[in-house]
Amino acid sequence: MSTTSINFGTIRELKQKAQARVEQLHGRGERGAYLYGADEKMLGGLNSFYLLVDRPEVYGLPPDPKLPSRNLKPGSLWSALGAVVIGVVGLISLRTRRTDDA
Amino acid sequence: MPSTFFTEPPHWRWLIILYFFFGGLAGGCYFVASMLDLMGRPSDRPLARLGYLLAFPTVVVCGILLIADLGRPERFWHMMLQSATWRPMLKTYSPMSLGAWGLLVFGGFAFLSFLGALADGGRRRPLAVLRPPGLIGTVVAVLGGLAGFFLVSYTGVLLAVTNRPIWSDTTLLGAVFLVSSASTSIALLLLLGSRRVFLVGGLRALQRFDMIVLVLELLTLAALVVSLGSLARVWLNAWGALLVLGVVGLGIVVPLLLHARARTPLSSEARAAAVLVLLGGFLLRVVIVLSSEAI
Repeated sequence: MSTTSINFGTIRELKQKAQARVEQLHGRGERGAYLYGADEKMLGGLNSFYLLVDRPEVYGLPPDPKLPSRNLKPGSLWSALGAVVIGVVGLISLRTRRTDDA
Repeated sequence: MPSTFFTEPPHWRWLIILYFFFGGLAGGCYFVASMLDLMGRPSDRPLARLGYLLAFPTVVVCGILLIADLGRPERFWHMMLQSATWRPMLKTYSPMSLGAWGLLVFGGFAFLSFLGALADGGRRRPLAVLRPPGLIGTVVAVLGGLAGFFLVSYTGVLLAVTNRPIWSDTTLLGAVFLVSSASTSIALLLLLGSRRVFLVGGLRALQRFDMIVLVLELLTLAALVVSLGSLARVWLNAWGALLVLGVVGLGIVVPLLLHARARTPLSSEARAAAVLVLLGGFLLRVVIVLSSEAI
């Protein structure tokens, strides 16, 4: 039996429908109702969004999701810096010999 | 709570931990060997040769570990080739795809230097051109050394772009793995070279190198914890204890004290320090992988 809790359609139509439902709930006194992932603030907008009446964590959803790929550039740059530092330390350690070194 | 806590773990276990550790040793032994060849003295050549002889078999083990970890090991070649077009499967935005190619490219250079190192032992003299100081050998050592740096650090960047707690909550894991690879590889060369008295000059230089790298590792680990901010509290458990006591205490602080006490790199203190550095490097990868997997 379908509960109709999940709706399918074009994003634009679904957003209009969801916004109308939020306003309907607000009108009935459910002031905490809001849409999760429907606007562009969350990762540029999700193709699948939710109508919630509590914090996202309560539903097992991340409150502030971020794309992990944002770490690719800084992670690579830190690694490159590490390689340069190791190279310089190696150069100093291997070129600077004490008199008792062979 | 950070968004990484709402994700599913990739179930990476011992094969991946061993790959991270041996990958660090393969790339690290190679770039330390190439540094000895390019920046060291002629008397350091046997020590550099040891590094090349270790790097190639170790990177072969790495390939086997990665393939064994696949759900369908016989399909590993799909990482390298597109089955429909036979064109290279290379995704420049993916550390996993770049890493598969990096492993192959590094393996190629490691093989060339391995042949050069064998030739240096007197078996196939013409292949000795594959080692510095000649032009071909220098090009191989420089490019192979760069590929080695890539191999030891891309695994940390791969974790940083994997949406899990700790891993993608910092951008420093690539640098941490790189510095740890340097310290463990120098330690392995110190350990295996420590019974050859004629290598003592190069070993002394490597010992000084390892002491500075261990201090760098300590600083990099401190920066890693700071970069996690309040999330670092996830290590207020057995994993954190292993990180502090095993990785930092046994793997960095005690070896630094032992190296400082050791009168010569051939001494038992220096050998014990090298063993502990290797143990600490392994435990570092265990903590980084399994502490996130456990969340």
